[in-house]
Amino acid sequence: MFKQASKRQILKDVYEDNLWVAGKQTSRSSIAPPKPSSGKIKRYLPYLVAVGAVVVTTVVTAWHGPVKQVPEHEVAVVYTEQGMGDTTIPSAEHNEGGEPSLDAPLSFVAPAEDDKVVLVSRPSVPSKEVLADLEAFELHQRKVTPENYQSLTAVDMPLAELFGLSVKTIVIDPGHGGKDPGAVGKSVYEKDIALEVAKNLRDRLLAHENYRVLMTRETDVTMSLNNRVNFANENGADLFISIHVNNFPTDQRSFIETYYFGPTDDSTIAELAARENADSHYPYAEFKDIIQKIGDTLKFQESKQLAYAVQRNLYQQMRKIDGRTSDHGIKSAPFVVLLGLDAPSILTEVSCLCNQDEEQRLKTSEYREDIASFLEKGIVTYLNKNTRVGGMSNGEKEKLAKAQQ
Amino acid sequence: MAKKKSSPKRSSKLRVGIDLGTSRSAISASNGKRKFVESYVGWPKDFISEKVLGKSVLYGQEALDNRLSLELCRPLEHGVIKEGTSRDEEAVNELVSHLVELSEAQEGQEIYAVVGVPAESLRANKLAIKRAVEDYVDSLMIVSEPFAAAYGRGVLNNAIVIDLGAGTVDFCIMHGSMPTDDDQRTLVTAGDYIDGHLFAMLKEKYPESDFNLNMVRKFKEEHSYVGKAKGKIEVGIPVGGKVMVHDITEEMGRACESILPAVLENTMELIARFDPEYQGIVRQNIILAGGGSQIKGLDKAIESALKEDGPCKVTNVDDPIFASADGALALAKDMPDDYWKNLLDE
Repeated sequence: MFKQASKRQILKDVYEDNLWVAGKQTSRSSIAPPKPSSGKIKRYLPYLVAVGAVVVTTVVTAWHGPVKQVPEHEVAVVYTEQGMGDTTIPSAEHNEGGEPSLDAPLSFVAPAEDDKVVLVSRPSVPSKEVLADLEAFELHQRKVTPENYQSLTAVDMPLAELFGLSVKTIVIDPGHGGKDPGAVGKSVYEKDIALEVAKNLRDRLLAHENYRVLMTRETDVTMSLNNRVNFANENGADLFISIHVNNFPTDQRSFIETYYFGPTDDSTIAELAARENADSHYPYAEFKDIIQKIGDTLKFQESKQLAYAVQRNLYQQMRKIDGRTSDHGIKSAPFVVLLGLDAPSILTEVSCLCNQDEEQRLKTSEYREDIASFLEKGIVTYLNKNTRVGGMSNGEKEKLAKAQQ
Repeated sequence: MAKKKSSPKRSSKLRVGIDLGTSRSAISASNGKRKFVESYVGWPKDFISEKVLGKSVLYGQEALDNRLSLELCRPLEHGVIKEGTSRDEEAVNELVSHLVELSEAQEGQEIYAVVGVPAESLRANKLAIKRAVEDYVDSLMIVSEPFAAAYGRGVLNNAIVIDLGAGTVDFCIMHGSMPTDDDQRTLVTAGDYIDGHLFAMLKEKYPESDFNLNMVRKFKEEHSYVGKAKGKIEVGIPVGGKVMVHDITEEMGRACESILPAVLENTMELIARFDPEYQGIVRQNIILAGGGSQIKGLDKAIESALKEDGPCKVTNVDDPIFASADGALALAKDMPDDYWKNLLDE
């Protein structure tokens, strides 16, 4: 017979969970805190914990020279609300906790005189320098010590490659749809262009026969952003590509750009993100929960690489068609549709409806097919880079061997 | 049913458990009423339809039977409210209102409800369900469907519940405490997926035959199986206006088996989450609930696949349609009054 005391505890847990759902309690109290829902996150977790250790070690070392070996009880790690951004010189404002902020910088307090390490903000998205060190982390050396940490910086290797991860499922997300037309041209809607380009891209990727390719919508239907995110996560997306078309009426140039999730100081990008996030249907508390996923270093790295490959191929090809095409590059921006995903994800603005010539081209199926082929090329470039046999090039293996000597 | 308004005098409390399902929704009440309805809501298309039908809104099988005269809505998808149209939200409100009405609460009686939702529902989905239900009850709680089924059976420790519905297959492991997010899984390859798969296979095999998804769903409910077929499965389908016998044996088996690999994979993964010392006990305590548990041979197929790693026993719940609603009612009855009061909306 199950103990009555345990049954009472279950009832209490159900009650507290419902208080949390109703917004009458900020946490789920005695229930274990929600863990990442994706199996992928769970798989990565041990590695990310190890990577976190490297971040602490490396950054503190860079700041203050090699960390001395200190007794375990003397090392204090203090987390406040999560933040992200570049590593900065600590300031009073940074050291204070407070509401989670997309642009709150990651900050470290310099080691105190007694060599205690005090980390005052969770290392969500490390700086470029820290990422370089992260990429060099060697899988078999999970135990990082002051003696061996320097060897980790010698190898230039993406984490996905390091962990032997491969891409099986690609989810393509045609932006907007249904009652939400997206950008509106004189005689064409963003939602229709995105859908046809997405379908063409799907067919092209399926032809490789290596991938399961899914679409968040295949018809002209309204779909909230969180449903798109859920769809991708539920289907175990390994990559997520959201297709959009820009429209800035004040700028007649045609320009293309690709985003991956991250903070922005750019007010124009913030406005664009606010527009794209308008239909997210995420309550604030849930938004806070998913913000914690920002700390997924692997996703961040891979998203950036994917964005780079797609943008580069897209721009090179589009420029051949119209020499006036402008390259706005890859950028990080807080789009909800990228934030909630467990997989590497990008949002690409494949064209711009503000240019009349471009709008005429965008009305044709041939041009939409062309754009799909450019996207395909970028994605395949990224995928090929991440599936090198053996995980490392010979040069990388040599560098690793030297570093380990 | 009129929306609940606080009344000055309350005679007593009615506790109800509600399972809002993609295909069927059920309610079990503390006054002994147990009802289910197909999760369809229909509104007459025009004035004439309304006059012929004599109702402004129809539910369940009645709505399905009169679908040609109705604007028909199946508002739940994968166990949560479809997003995109206000009509879906309106339909869920109508459905909940109808279910609560079926519980035959007395005038002025307070209603405390526990509602089952898919295991991995997001907080946003739970809030949407909450919004749909709260107008018709006084206080409500939301729990995962497989957990409700487990609670109803008193299976609270060393067990796995697999709830096979139309929209989702929900898994939940019970280890003596309320399951956390990590203890639960939701797959969307469920009953509707089988219907779609079967429909596609039959369309390919019998391109000239005239059938729809609703007919295919009925074929499945009557003849579904996995493993070895016990004889031919033959159904009548019109071809050019004349009903002809069609053999659907092989397609039925293939469609039903299509969900098995994911079910097995998740079951094994969840068993592995238990302490190794208890995994043997858990293998003997796998509960199948939901309409999908009625697929013939499914329990044996799971047992057979899992037996490779040790003895295994899969048990079907006695009343799959009401398992979650009964479990939710059991929770509603056991929940202390203080908890309900604290959840009352001001």
